[in-house]
Amino acid sequence: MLTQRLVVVTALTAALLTGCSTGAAPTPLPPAASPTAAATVEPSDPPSEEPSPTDEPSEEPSPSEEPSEEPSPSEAATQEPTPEPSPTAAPVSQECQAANLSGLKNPGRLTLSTDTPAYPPWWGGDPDTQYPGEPEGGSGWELSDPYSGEGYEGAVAYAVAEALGFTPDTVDWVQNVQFELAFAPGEKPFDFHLAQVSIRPRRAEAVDFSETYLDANQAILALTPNSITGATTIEELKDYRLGAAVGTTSFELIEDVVAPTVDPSVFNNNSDALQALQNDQIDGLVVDTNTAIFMRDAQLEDFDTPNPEATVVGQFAESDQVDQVGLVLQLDSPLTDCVNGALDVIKANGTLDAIYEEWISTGQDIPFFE
Amino acid sequence: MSGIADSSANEPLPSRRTRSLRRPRGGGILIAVVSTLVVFATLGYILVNAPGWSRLQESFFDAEVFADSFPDVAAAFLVNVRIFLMAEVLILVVALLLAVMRSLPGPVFFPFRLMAVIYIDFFRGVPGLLVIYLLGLGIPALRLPGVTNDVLFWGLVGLVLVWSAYVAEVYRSGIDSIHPSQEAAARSLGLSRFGALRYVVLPQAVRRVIPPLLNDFIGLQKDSALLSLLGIVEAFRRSQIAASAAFDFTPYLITALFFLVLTVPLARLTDWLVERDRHKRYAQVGAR
Repeated sequence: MLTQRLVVVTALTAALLTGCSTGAAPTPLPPAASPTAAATVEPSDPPSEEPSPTDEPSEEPSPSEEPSEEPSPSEAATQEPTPEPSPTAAPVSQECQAANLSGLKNPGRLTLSTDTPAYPPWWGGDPDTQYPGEPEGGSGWELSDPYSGEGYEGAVAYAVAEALGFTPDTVDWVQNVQFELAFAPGEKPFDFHLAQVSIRPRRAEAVDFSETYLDANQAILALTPNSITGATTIEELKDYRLGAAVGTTSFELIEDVVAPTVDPSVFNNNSDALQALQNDQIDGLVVDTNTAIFMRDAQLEDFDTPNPEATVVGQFAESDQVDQVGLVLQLDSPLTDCVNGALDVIKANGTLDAIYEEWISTGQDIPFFE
Repeated sequence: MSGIADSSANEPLPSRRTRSLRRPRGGGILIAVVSTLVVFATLGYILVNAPGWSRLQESFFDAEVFADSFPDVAAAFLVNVRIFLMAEVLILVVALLLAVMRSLPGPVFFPFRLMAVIYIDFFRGVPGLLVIYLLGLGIPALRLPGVTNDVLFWGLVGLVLVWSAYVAEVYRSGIDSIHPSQEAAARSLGLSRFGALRYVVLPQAVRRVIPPLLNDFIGLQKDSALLSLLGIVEAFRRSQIAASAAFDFTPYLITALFFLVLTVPLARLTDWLVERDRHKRYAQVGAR
């Protein structure tokens, strides 16, 4: 089954790549024109309500990157067509410029990967819209379109690309249809992959991780006529039926931090888990805080009656478990240092903070479990 | 059948399986040893010298990950055992009823035959995954009063529905393989139609289909992993959790080993049972 999928992925990749190269002639930017020329990353819409699809992928993560100091334009981040503060920070080193980068899948082009379906608020855009650089006939993604550069990770991806000197039309995307394929042995079909993958020491033996671009913490989502909504401490959560999606660090948190007395449930993805929550087969669903907020506001919002009503019961403090989310690269990839350099650039010039402000709700009103 | 006529002595003819596995004599042994060594050595050489071998080894055969996740997967495998044992008992009963329903003769029983055919066609054709999803997450969504939303219950129902359709066909092939003269003889001895089925046809039919029944039982064992869809943490799901924590596929190997350890002895046991039964029957024929 896995191999079958692999074949499919490779086929898709090939199709995508050939599609791209015939579509847009690769025009690697001269190294000079990079990070200072701010942005244009997103076709930029206001934070934009996503279609309200199903939910979040089988990965973890979430919110809070120091939303503290925010460069110049906070209004720009939410409204103006071209946000992105204009930076003064030094660009990436000479050998990391697009034209000089070695080890790319496709010389002169950047090949990125994420899961499909791609869920808000991490991804945005409309799969049916043709974005600049997108191959003829669409990207093939479900729910969102990574070519849009919208959503938190979409924006981060294009910001990193830009810092390395790639223009949006030299960025290609390949689909990762299953979480596990990102760490299958052998040649990776991408230069880097981002899908809210938490950095873990054991995982780092199989792939390279970049520095973190997001600190995520977890929360519990529940439906109101349920006593779990009154829980304020981790101790009180022990007797409830908790669930999470497989492959997530949410499940690690259930087992290691909460250690419930009832067997927790693990689902293929958050859609299934959400269904079980609505069926009263679990009392609480553990997801990262931002996804919990998205589920509460967009996915569980359309009940006909006042009850059940979705609430985010509480979130776990960073001292319980914090997930540092990083980009995934091939093990010992020659690109890792350059990608880290690019992340340093967008952190230093405030781009990352602006992206955070634009796409991620802070969740500060949600109480922490004691 | 002709084998019986040919065997003059008490010694039954060896089955094809016994013959093929029997050790070759004399110089044959040497040839077999050498060719076996050459074939496996070549395969091993190609594997170990493949450019990605070390990667593969780390990703699928990592001793440390194996040791770490073994206890968890072992504990979770007990969940699988519980699931497929419960399911198997129910399946054997339900499938037999279905097969009998389908084999009922005469126009009076047409509606029963029709029902059995529709049931079998439907549940053999629909992916088990869908049936389990639909029952486990769908029926509880109806929120019918008094209907359980227990996932283990609905998961078991799903497995029984799907696998009893397969097994019913196995039974039916057994029933069909019994010559009509058997039933005629039984009826002429004064047994009722049901009695003939119960005491003459079914015992012979079931004996014949034991190997394919075992096939389906093994299939069912592996399908018990489908219940993980409903949130149940069984061996496969536990492996998946361990795999994604370590970015390493070794834990799946543990699950595979558990299934193998279970099915291989079971297959040998069935072979032995079938062989013993064969001996017994031919011995009787010979003695007469």
